[in-house]
Formats: sequence, C-alpha cells, structure tokens
Amino acid sequence: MKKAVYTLLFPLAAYLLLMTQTDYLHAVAENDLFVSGEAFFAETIHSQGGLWTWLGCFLTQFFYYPWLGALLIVALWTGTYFLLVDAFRLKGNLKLLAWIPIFALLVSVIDIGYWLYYIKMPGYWFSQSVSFFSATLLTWVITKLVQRWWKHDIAWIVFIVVYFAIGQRFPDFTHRDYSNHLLQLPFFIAPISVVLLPVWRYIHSHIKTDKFISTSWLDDIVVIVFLLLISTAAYFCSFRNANFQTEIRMQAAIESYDWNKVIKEAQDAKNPTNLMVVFKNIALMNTDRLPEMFKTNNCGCLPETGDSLSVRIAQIAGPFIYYHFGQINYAYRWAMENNVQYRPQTRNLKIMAQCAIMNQEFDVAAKYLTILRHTTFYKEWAKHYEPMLLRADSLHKSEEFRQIAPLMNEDVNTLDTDNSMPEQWILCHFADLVHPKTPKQDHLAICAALWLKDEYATCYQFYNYNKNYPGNSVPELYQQAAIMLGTREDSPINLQNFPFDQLIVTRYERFNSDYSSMSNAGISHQEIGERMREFYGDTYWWYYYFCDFKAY
Amino acid sequence: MKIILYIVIAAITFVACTHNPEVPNDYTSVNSQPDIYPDYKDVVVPPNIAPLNFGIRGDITDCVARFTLADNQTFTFGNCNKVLIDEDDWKEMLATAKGNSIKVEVFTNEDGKWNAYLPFTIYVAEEEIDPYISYRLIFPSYVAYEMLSINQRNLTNFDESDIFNNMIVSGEKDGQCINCHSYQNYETKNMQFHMRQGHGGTMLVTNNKPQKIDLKTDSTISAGVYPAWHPTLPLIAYSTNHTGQSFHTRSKAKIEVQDTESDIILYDVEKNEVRYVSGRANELECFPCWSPDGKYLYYCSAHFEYYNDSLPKSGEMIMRYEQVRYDIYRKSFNADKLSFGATELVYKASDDSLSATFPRISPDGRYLLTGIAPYGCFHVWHPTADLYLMDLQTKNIRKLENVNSAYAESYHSWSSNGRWMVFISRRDDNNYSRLYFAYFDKNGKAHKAFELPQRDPDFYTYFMRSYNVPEFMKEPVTVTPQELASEALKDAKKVKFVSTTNTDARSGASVLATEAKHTVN
Repeated sequence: MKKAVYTLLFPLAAYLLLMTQTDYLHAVAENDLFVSGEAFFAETIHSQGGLWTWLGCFLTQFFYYPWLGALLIVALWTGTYFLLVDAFRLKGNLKLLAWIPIFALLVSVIDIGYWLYYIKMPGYWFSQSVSFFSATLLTWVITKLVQRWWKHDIAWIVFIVVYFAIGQRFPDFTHRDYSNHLLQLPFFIAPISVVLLPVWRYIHSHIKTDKFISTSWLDDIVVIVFLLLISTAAYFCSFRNANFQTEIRMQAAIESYDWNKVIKEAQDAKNPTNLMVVFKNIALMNTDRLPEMFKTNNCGCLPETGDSLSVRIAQIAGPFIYYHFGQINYAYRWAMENNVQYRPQTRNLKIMAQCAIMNQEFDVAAKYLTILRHTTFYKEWAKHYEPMLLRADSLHKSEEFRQIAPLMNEDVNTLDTDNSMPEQWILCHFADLVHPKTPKQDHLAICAALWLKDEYATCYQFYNYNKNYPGNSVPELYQQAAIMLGTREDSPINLQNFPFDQLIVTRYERFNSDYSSMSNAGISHQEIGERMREFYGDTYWWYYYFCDFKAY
Repeated sequence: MKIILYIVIAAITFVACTHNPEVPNDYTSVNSQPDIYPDYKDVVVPPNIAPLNFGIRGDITDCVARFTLADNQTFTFGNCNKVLIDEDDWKEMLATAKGNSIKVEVFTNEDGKWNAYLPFTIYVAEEEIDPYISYRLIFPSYVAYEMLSINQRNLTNFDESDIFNNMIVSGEKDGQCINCHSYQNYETKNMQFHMRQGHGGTMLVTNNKPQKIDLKTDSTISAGVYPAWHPTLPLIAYSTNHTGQSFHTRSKAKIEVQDTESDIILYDVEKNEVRYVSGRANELECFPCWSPDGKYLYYCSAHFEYYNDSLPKSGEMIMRYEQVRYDIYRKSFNADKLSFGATELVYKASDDSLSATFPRISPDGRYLLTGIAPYGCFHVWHPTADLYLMDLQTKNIRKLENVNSAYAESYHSWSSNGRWMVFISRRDDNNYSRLYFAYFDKNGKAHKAFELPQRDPDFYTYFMRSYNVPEFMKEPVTVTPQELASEALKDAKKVKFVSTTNTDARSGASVLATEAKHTVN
C-alpha cells in the first residue's frame, strides 16, 4: 500500500501542478491543431519526426479539457516510469531516479510561457513525451526479448540506439536572433538521466554493501524528500506570470462575448500589459462604455517573458484584436502569417473562418469550417457558423455581426502596412478616420486619438463628434481632453467658448495646481504621478502626463 | 518509416474506396448533372493523365459511377461519396477512348434511395500532355514563408516529389525564400531557381550540375528575378526588380505587389556575364519571354513617372497603384551579336485600361497567352484577372472563353506540343491557387479546364498551400534536393556586368561592345 502511495505521489503532484495552469493548458489546445483524416496525417508526417508530431497533435488537442489532457499526459509519464523501472531493473529507492526524466518532461510542458505562441513544433506538448514513452517501450520490449538468452544489462545501450533511431525532432526555442537554450535543457536531462540509471544502480549497490541505508524510516524520508524536491523544483521551473494567464482568460472571455468578465479581469490586474488594456477596451467598446477607458487602468506595460524573448502583440493576439476592431483583412493576414511562421493553430483557423464569413468569402469560409468540423472539439463551433454561409439573416443576426460590422468601414480601402504593430496601426487607423460612419466609429475615433495622445487627431475628432451629435451631452472623458488640448494655442480648433462642465474645468485647474505645488516642492515627476493617482487616476490628464504608450 | 506509412495509407484508401460496385436496378432519375468536385464534367483530358477521381457533394451514403466507352465497355467505381478510379482501369479506358469520349453516369444513395443523374462526358484528346509538371507550393501568406517547396508531379499518376524545399538549408535566423524555377525548352538538365535571404543566390543547373551564382551587380538594380531561358542558347533573360508589397484594408484583393523599379537583363551562362536588354527611364520592364525560335524577346513594360519628390518611390507607388498598367513589347534578337533590335509594341493594354503580364508564346509561334487585369503586375491577387489570347498573325486579342472564372487566373504555360495549357486559378475559393489544365485545339479554341487530379478528391479542401509557377517538363528533375542543398550552402559565384553601347534611348535598340559567338546546345 505504502509503495503504491509513494509511486502515485509524483504523478499526483504533477497533475495538481498542471491543474494550477488550466487557462494555459486550454490555450495550448487552441494554439495547436489536429484534424482527423489522411490529408492532415500525410501533411504532418512529411517533415522530420512527423509521426511524433502527428501523435503529439492528436494528444495535445485533449488539453481542450485541461483535466483530460493533464490526465493523459500524467498517465503517459507514469507508464514511462514503470517501463523504465522494469527495463532498468530498478529496485528500492533507486526507482525514484526514474522520475527524473518525467520531471524533465513535466517542466518542458509548463516552463515555456510566451513561447506558446512562438514555438514552431506542432504538438510540442505531447510529442516529446510520446516519443520518449515509445523509446522506453521499445527499450523495454527489446531488453525483455534479449535478456531471455543474454543476461547482461543492455537496457541503456538499447535506449540510446532506440532514442536516436525513432527520429524525433528536438524543439528549437529560437525567435529571430534570440535563442533560449535553457528551455531545451529538459530534453537533454530526460535521456541523459535514463542512460545514467545503471551508473546509479552500480553506485547504489556498493553503498548498500556498506549498509549506508538500511532502515525503513530512512527510506521513507528519502522517498518523501526526493519527491518533494522534484515537485517543488517543477513548480519553481514553471512559468508563473499572472498577466500571461490573465491575457489568456480575457481572450477566452472575449470569444464568448463575456464582456463583464473581461472588464473584471482588467480591474483585478495591478500592472496590466498593453494587450490586457486592448482587451479591456474592446469590452468597454462593445458595452458602449468606451469613454470610461481611462477610469480603469489604461497604462499597459510590456509582458514579462522571463527571458529575452521579444514578444509582439501581432503574434500573441494580432488576428484576434484586428478582428474585434473590424479590420477583417488584417486579421486574416496575421492569422495566416502566424499559421505559416509558427505552426498551424486552431485559433487562427477559427479567425480565418470568421474573417471569411464577415468578408462574405463563403467558399473559403466553407473550407475552414470543413477542416474545423474534422477536429474533435471544434465541431460544434463550426456548426454554429455554417448557417451563416447559406443565409444572410443568420449572419446578420449573429453577435459578431452586431459587434463587428459597425467597425468595418466599407467605403475606405487603403493600401497600407502595419509594421507588425497591430495596436499602433488600429489606433492610428481610427484616430485618422476622416469620416467615421457609425456611432461606434465616432467614439473609437476620438478614443483612439486620446489613447495615442495624438493632440491634433483628438481635437479633430472632438470637433467631428460635436458636429455629428449636436445637442448631445459630451462624455466627461472627451471634455477632459478638450479642456486640456483644445484650449492650447496650437490647437486646430478653438474651444474658448465651448460649454464645458464647470466641475470638470475646476477639477482640471486643481490637477494643475496640485502638480505645480508638488513639482515646486522638488518631487520627481514619477513620484507625483504615484501621489496623484489616487485622486486623478481616472482622468485623461493623469494618463496623458504619467503613462507612456509604447506599442509592441 | 515514412514509406511504410504511405503504403499503409494507400492500402487503406484502396481497400476502403476502390471497388467495382453494382449499378442499382431501382433508382429515381434526377434531371440534372451531379454536383461533383473537382468539376470534371464535360472536360477534355489528355490520353496520359492520372485518374480523375472525384467526390460528390450532398448528404449521400453511397455512390456508383459507371464509365461507358464507345464500344459499350463499362467500368464502375464508387464508395461512400467518392469515386476513386483504379489506375490500370483508367489507363485502359483512356487508351480505348483516345480521340473519343467516355460517358459517366452517377448514381447516389440518399436516405436509402438511389438517384440517377444526367450523364456527363469526359473527352479524351489525341494529343498527350507533357508527363511532368513542376510548381511551387506556398501558403498564401503575405510576408511569412516557411515550408516552401518546389515540387514535381508526374501527371500520368499521382507521384509527387520535392525538387527543393527551403527547410533543408534554412532556419529561423536565415529563413529562405525560393522561387522562379525555370527550364530550358521543357528539359530539366538546364534549369534554375532563386533563393532569397538566407544562403541567397540563383541556383543554376547546367547539364545536371548545380552551382550557385549571384546575379546582383553594382550596375543592376537587383539580382535576376523573372527568368526566361533562351530556347536553344545558354542565355537567360531576367527582369531585375525592386519589389514591395502592401495590404488592402478592405478590398478582397488583400495584397498588392508592386515594382518601384524594374529592368531586363541578359545573363550569359557560359561567360557568367550580365548585360542590359532594356532599362529605360520611367519604364517598368518585366516578365521576359522568348519566342520559341529564339528570335524575339517579349516582355511587359509599364510607363510610370514619379511626380512626388517628397515621397519615397514605394510611397508614391502605393498611392497610385491603380495607375500602373503594363503593355507587351518585343525586341528582335541577334544571336550572333547578342544584340537586340528596336522596341516593338505588341499589345497596348493600357489603351484598354488593362494591364498585361506574363506573355507566353505558343510553341508554334502563332499565339500569345497573357494574364490581364485592370492594373498592376501581380494578378494572382487580382480577382478579376483573366487569361487572354492574342493571335500574332492577326493581332486580335480575346478573353479565353471556357477557361476563365469569376476569380483570378494567372501564371500560365504552354505544353511542349502546344495543345495544353496550364494556369493557376483561384476559382475554388478566391484564396488558394490551384492548377488547371485546358485543351487548346488546332482551331485555336480552348476547352473547359480541369483541375490537377489528386488521389483523394478531398485533397484540395484540406490542403492549405497554393500552387504557383506551373511549368511543363518532358522529364523529371534528376538533381536531388541534397545535391542542391550542398551547393546552396556554398558562396555564390559573382557574375560580371558587361556594359552595352549604342543604346538608342528612343527605340531601346542595343549592340554589345563585346561580341561573342555561342554554341547551340
């Protein structure tokens, strides 16, 4: 009984550790692709290590339900452990050493963070474990067969031969000029630790002779300490960035049009990334609350990747945010680029299908939906969209059409390029709109100008807004910006006599006087920002003076 | 390992879908032809083409297709919703029906009831098609390129193999684009293709021996781009281009590829020298093509003057992209002196507010096939692009009936006997380019085009790459990808620029300062 408990301790720890990252695991499934049928199989096995890639993709799809994917991978690892123990004839505490390669494989799944979007190996999350399991299984079979007539310990030789013979591909963590070799370490540790097993056994047999470890309680302590050690090490090796997880959750919430959840996630974040700010503003825009964008934190920061990986929104969520800002062509473009440059991903295929539908390119939409219908977990998703190919009313009644169509400016086609900066491009595109066509575009045009701190565009769009909505009350945010920018000497519009809300004017005067008094007292600009955040953090003025907008 | 897997797949497919079913006795007649994919209804095919396997759309559980020859011999195939034809039977059918036709009747089982559709015909021409074709497979991406390959396909069956692929020698840091494969006179012992960026250069294969050359000189605007082998001499005409691309925010055309500058040069393979053919100011010369007798070099040129000094050329080109229209010209060629005559206008497409690209002369020299759209040079991204045919005797030009579709038709080539043409078309979905073949009869009439047959009719639905630059070959390329890769890793051999003299700026005629004789291959 005790043996069984000890044996299950690490798998249990691994499973629990995986289950602390369910958002990430679901994103893994979204960022990979498996299609049933021979076409996908033939295409996948064409490359080196293709069979492992195909198997990896097949199993990775089960992370769609994180508990299921985690269960499968832990089962695979446990099977590998038992095969190693038997093939290498490990006894007693030596069996613990068979967990080292499993530990390495576990780390390889949970340590990659933002590389999720950049790794070029389809099915990465399972392919290494499957090929390792297969190498171990073959080693076990061959060893058993050979040992019927030859008693020498040959498992390690067999393992080396099999491991290289099965033709698996090693993951490469390279993006542009940067390579993270540390992330490759598990793939060296796993086979090397197996090859070293006979060495440990040899050393152990000599220690045993000296009666160094003899008591059962000491054995227990060794077991528990060892398992605790590798479990803790795995935890500390995992990528535990809160913003990374939040971005994934927010994206999932946007997909299900759960705008309140998106806003709630943004409110809970202390130091959001630019992408989280973009997500939050998409939610505000779709709930007609865009003028509240500075009431929640609108200062985005760069994501912390844990290494020197240069992360771009274009790769993390470029297609997604372009789509939700109604820029269908550019959304399609980045979905295609990312599929080509990195690996085929379900989420890109979904965006490509959605874009094709919104663009009324129904033939190619049918192609993508057919492919998605041949996945295990996206059949229903595809079925939801299929009626839109056949009936215009089905498209027009859909939630996305309601949200996205008002942002699509059908009359304006320009040739342009975004220099791989979707956020910057979207904001410039809307801030520079000469003739916004819908109320949604009106608000977005002025808010984009504010977001960019583009003074000229802000004034222009403020003028446009007032022209388009004469007599309407002007949102507080727009008044804040106009009070600050529209009364300057270099302003393209004259707002001297504009009927601003006096409370806002007074508050701005107080903002200025507070700033001046602190500045005169020798307090640094940054410190002033921190002190004024409590009172003015919800204003455009605070954003304008204390937040740097840096697109990435 | 891979071979075993392919065999397993083939065996499963064969067992699952290839059998000779019985034609049902009880059925309801349907007064329409079946909805099949690819569309092989009433097409003309060569007598040496691979089986035209097809699928049937609709909620059907089973199907039978009966192929009837003129002598009333019949063959039946079909299972599930696919008609997969046994290769031996197909060859037998084609041999019997050569110069005649095959009647195809389709029966489908829907909800347990059989329906019989109106038959369609597959006409089998007398003239064979070149047995091989090569093409580049590329995701219809915009800037990114991974997994590019130049492939060759045996048209008489389904065998396909890589000539080269860009993953052999390149990786993340030194990604490589490969393009513009071309052969001399349909033979593969002399061929070339370009590699850009990582390990860049032009891979030149002469007498099956590869070498990498660098066609960029200080006197030319770029390395060679669009190639045209002289049909008999060791000469290749190239365009040199400064190419950029930008993206439409709303138009379904999505991408615009534009040249801000371009000229035509001639590369002497034996002497490793390049010289200008045409490089006139305010002219964007491109798409060279030799007449089959090698006496003329056809090409396209767009007259374009930059007005705005405050913008970079690329910026102005983006603003005025719809004003760029290419016309077709030609120059006579003196093989003894390696000199070109005055520029002759062949077709002024711009007068019709059109832009003509890729002139291709039929092997008998009678016809010029060109791709035409309202503007620009990269018609694969122009949905309205169509193929036009000019009779060089009468100078009449017409849109090719039976061949064009509502979407883009672009890069096109003639078979060596001039009876077949291949082109890329986006008619399937306006996004992915596929290969289509059309029969061109002795009366100058093109017939309904058919899609490159695949073993599995569903292939094109799941295949996410586009076909481009289809070129017929009489034989397969025998230089292996590994041999090409080995050469690709070496430093490229620089070419030498030779200046031309006596260039008549008006006519563009030029005589070389150095005269050289060339041996005929």
